Amino acid sequence: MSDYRAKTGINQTLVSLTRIPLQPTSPGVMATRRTIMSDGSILDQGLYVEWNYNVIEDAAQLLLVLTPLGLHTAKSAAVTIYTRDDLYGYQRYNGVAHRPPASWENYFARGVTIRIINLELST
Amino acid sequence: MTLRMYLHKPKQIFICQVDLGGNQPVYPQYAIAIKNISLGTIGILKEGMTLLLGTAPGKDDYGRIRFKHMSPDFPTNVIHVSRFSHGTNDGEGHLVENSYITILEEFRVWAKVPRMIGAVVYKDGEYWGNVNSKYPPPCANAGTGVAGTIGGNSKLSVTFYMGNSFKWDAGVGVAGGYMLPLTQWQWEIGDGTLTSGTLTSQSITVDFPAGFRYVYLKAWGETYPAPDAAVPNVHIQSVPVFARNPAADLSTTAFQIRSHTHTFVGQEITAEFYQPLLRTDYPDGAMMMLWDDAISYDPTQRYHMLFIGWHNVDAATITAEETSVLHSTTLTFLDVGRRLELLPGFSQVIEYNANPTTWSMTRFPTLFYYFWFILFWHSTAIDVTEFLRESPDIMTMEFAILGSERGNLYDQCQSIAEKVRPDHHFTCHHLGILHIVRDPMIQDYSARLDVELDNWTENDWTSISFPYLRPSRLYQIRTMAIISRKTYIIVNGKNELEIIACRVPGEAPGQGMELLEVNEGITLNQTQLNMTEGNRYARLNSRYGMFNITIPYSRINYLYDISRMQWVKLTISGSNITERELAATFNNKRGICHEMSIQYDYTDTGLVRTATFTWEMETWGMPAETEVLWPDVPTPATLEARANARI
Repeated sequence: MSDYRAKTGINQTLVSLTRIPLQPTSPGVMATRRTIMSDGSILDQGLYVEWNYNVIEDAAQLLLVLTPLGLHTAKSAAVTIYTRDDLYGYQRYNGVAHRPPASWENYFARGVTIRIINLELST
Repeated sequence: MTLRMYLHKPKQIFICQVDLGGNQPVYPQYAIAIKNISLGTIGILKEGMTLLLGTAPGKDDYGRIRFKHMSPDFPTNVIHVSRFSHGTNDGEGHLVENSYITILEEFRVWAKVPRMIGAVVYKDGEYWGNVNSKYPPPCANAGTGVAGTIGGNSKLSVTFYMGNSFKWDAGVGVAGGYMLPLTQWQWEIGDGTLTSGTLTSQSITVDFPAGFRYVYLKAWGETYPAPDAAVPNVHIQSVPVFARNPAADLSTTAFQIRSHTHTFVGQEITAEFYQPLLRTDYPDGAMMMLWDDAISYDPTQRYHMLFIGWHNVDAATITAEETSVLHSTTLTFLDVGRRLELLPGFSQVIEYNANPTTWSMTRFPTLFYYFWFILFWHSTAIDVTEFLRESPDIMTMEFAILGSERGNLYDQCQSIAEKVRPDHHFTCHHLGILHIVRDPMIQDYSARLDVELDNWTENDWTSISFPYLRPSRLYQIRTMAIISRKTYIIVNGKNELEIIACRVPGEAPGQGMELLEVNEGITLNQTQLNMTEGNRYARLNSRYGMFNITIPYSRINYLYDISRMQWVKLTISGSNITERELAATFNNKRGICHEMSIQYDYTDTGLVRTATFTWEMETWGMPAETEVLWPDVPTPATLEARANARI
């Protein structure tokens, strides 16, 4: 079972995070740029994660999702999230959450993606 | 990573009106009578603050100049400013009865323009040479500016250190560089609270509440003789401190950096802004500090600081798109070194004299004094940053006479630095600290320090390109230099400088196409000159040209700075060795970087920074061959003796 959580502010404790009422799907933490170094090793830069929703049914439901991230009042917010990393285990990260662009289509908001960028492990 | 920028919104601390007393103004001018002080008091004014002349408080439509001090004769109603002609540009003024004077709590890099009346020179418009060349002011070095986010106690803790300060003292002699540590100094910490040390300690730690302020270090030099004994011989350095409160944030992240370069001269940053930055709030030429909030803050260090400089120019764009009209403004910022490159320097000469009476004489005939002289008496650069004593060559090499051609202030310093053997460079650290550092590529190989700033292996770099240049470019270098000493040799009753010469690779030229003649230099002796010119020949005929190296920014040592000219080692090994190179060619090879350029890629998912370096591989060569300029007069002593004996 998924367990995505969030709270505004960085380095929030796990117990203080709010479980997202409508759980998203996510591929896990990804890198903005993956650089292959000249010795063949990998350097990942600019970590981010996307929380995806196929459909958000109405404004009230969107509010439920955005509120723990502080995005109901701001277009971006510093947050602590609990999300799957690239090994699909849950970790706490600090980052900046972005309110998704409008995507209303055929009675619903479709393909809603909340992006949280500048990820660093919380302390 | 969060790059934060503080754009200084200077506070108006003093407002009054111009009092011409019904007379017509006279230009050029350095004293302005004032009346009707409506804000502030005279006591809070500091030398170097920006002064606006305008039709209303806060306006600069009548010009912008620099406040210096109150008149010694009329200490309550006449202010002395940087000497100005009639105009409304920077450094100019238009005096109108009852117009307004606004003084800002802000310090910039200005040129101090000398006033020349025939042979009589007044530095900065009003200071005469007799006392000031005998008893130069000291140099307060209080460190560099700092910005950071307040901690849990709502304070920003900052440690300051003044141990790099110094004062001039002729009694120390050349072995000590004619300098001594300060014996009297005083910190001024504004709204800060001392948590360690006292206001006269060498090192202090201060807690600051949220907001901006300047910290000042006041240094006292040698006491002037009578009748000026009561006049303080002081120098003050200001240090900007910004404590960010996230709950009431005065910094911004709403910008994107479009270009960022760092060379020996200093840094230049161009950033694009999308929010209002009115000139009335952020005046032209205002200060900017940039830091990385993700680098953990250390009160004793400034690792997280990336840039401290001043606005230079704007570029605005307005574009009509399908859905809207968009506009943005790009601001370019320059640090102290780059600012010096834009300020005028006037020709001058200084000669050693044990009892100086004019500006063209000094009893501190070292190269370091000359640099200090240019910077202190012709700019406000070392009022706003540190000027460090590092190279022993510079501090102890003496001159009998030394001069500069007209140019910009940076070039005036650099042109002297590169005439020293071994060559030096006048450089600016990314924190704005001014250095004069030895060029390790030119100095004696055995004296080169094996201190490396960074070591780049295959785990660090992502691309490298370099040329291989087997054919030589030079067939010979012929060099002449004067021997460093403060006195002349007398030949036929005339003052002469001792000149030596060398040629490299020797009397038989090489296969390059060009001859390089280096006719100006100052060196300790023939051995040193031969050594440096041999190394110069090797460098200029180097098999390998400049390397372009690309590195993810996160792989760069946070201590790295181009201005130090310290080694960066490079390794290319294994299957990465290119087609014609031997396996060991690039194993831990030492070199120095000449330029760093940082590319900022702003994407939907984050910011990625990539650095590109211009790197020069270490070279060294065989010493040059001594060239005897006057074969029958082998040494100056003999020359002098023969001349005096009429042989």
